[in-house]
Amino acid sequence: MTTSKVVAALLEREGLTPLLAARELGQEPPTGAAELLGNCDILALGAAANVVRRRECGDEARVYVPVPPPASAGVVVLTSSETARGTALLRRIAELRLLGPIGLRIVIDAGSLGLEIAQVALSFGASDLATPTASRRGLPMALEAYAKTLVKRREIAAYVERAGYAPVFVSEGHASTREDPVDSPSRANVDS
Amino acid sequence: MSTLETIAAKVAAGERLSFDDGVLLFRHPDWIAVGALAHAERTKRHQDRAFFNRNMRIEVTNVCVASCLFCSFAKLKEGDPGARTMKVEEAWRELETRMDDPPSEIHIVNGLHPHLPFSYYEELLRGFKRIKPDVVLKCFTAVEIHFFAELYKKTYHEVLTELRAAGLDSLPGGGAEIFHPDVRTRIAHDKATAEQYLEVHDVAHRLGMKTNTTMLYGHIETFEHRVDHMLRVREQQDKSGGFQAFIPLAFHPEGNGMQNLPGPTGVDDLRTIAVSRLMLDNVDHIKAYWVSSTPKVAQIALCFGADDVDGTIVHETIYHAAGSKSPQGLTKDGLVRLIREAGFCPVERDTYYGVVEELPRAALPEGAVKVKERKAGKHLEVLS
Repeated sequence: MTTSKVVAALLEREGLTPLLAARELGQEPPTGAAELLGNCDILALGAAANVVRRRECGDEARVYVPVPPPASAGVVVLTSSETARGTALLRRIAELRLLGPIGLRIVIDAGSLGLEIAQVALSFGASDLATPTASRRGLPMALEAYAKTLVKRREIAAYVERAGYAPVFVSEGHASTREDPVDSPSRANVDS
Repeated sequence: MSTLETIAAKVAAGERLSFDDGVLLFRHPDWIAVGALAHAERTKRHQDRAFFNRNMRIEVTNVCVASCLFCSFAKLKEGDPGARTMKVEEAWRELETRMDDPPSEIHIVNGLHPHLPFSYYEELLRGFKRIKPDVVLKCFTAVEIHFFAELYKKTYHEVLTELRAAGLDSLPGGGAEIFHPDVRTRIAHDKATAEQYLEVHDVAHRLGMKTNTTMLYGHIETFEHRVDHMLRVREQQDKSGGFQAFIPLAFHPEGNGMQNLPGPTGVDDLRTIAVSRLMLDNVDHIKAYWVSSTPKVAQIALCFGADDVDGTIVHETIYHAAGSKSPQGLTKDGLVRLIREAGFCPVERDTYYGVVEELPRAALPEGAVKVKERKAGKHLEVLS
């Protein structure tokens, strides 16, 4: 997805273009970048974080099932222990994306923060989410329970796709699977 | 052909958006850009103000002869498990118990009860006005007004005139669902049609009443249906001009006839708010109803075109019957904090968007002042 002129104008207006250029060249952020981000328009912040997220992490979003990966040097996991909520949480994620290490995995714990917020966060710089939904592993299970599990996975896949990303499910054993596109009536409307 | 850029140019020039523009806004992958356009339009109209009110929800009966597929609230008849109809005294007591911190508005939405006399509703309204003469009674959706007209053999004009004489001030927007008959006949076939709903509002507006209107989204409808719905609202508003706010309501699937559907997502909620702001150029306010979308999403929606988060509500039951995980009420302090944290100036309003109290925004840190100065191209600017 290329940056639209609307977003380009927004980034320019908010003075974010030099920061994005510096990051693309692997340079340190310009002086005063943290202050600038702390006070800029939240949608500009999200748009900038989204540009960087796509550049550094691609179009895929990992969905960790059932628990997030452990935090490490290249992985930040945001859970309900975060004090920031709503818009403040989105700002924190975007700032992490724009000032953090190149290619940082920012994982949102959808189980504790909510699937809606986790989905929105994917467009504000988050790369991945984790959910407590059961994985396909654990068979044999009752057919009904298995079907419910599939529905949940498809639902989560739809959330990720509606945010404009391709879901890749990662189980505890770190095997990843790409979810087939889902043809639900509402999702059929989305070009992403 | 519509593009995001042609739409941006139209919005900047104050030109009206077309059906195709609306559909493109729903389909465009860059939903943050759509939000940015809506936020600019919202800011032009309301600056950094975000409205809320002190209201109280009462549902006096959940007995309802309609069989809407999306509804988890209604019970078909008295005596069914969970069916409940308040005596008017019970409803009045809800207000009496809150007179230490009274609401400025009472919002009543009910099922379509086939056996209550018209005098029940008149007495209900009169009683509230006896307890608190200045309380604004925003009661009965256009669907209820249409039902009253059929049940009691009156015209819309007669129903509204008689209820106004008893104390009715305004109509809530509920019942609009999706106007397009392809959808409406499938999810709400036995209640007011789109034309009847809009006619009730037309009559109310011509009587001098201000009303709201809604759209229930995220079920079987397409984006084209949503845009069609918005255009019908816009057309009606051109004719009668009495809609104060448009309220997109997120479908909740639990406990109703469409529970196999997933419901809308957070991105869908925010995009729908944004498109509403851009399409409805003649409606002043776009409301992010926190009960339907959760307080957190409603807060974010203030940056996507919404300028109102509804009110304290106190005890909502319709959405909670459908599985809403939002609290049943918020305090005034809670709403103020929600608005401030998003960077807006909280304004307590009355039903008609008159300012009750304009509260200060959160204090700006020194850095924010400098950034605002730079954006304004000024060396020094005193911020109000």
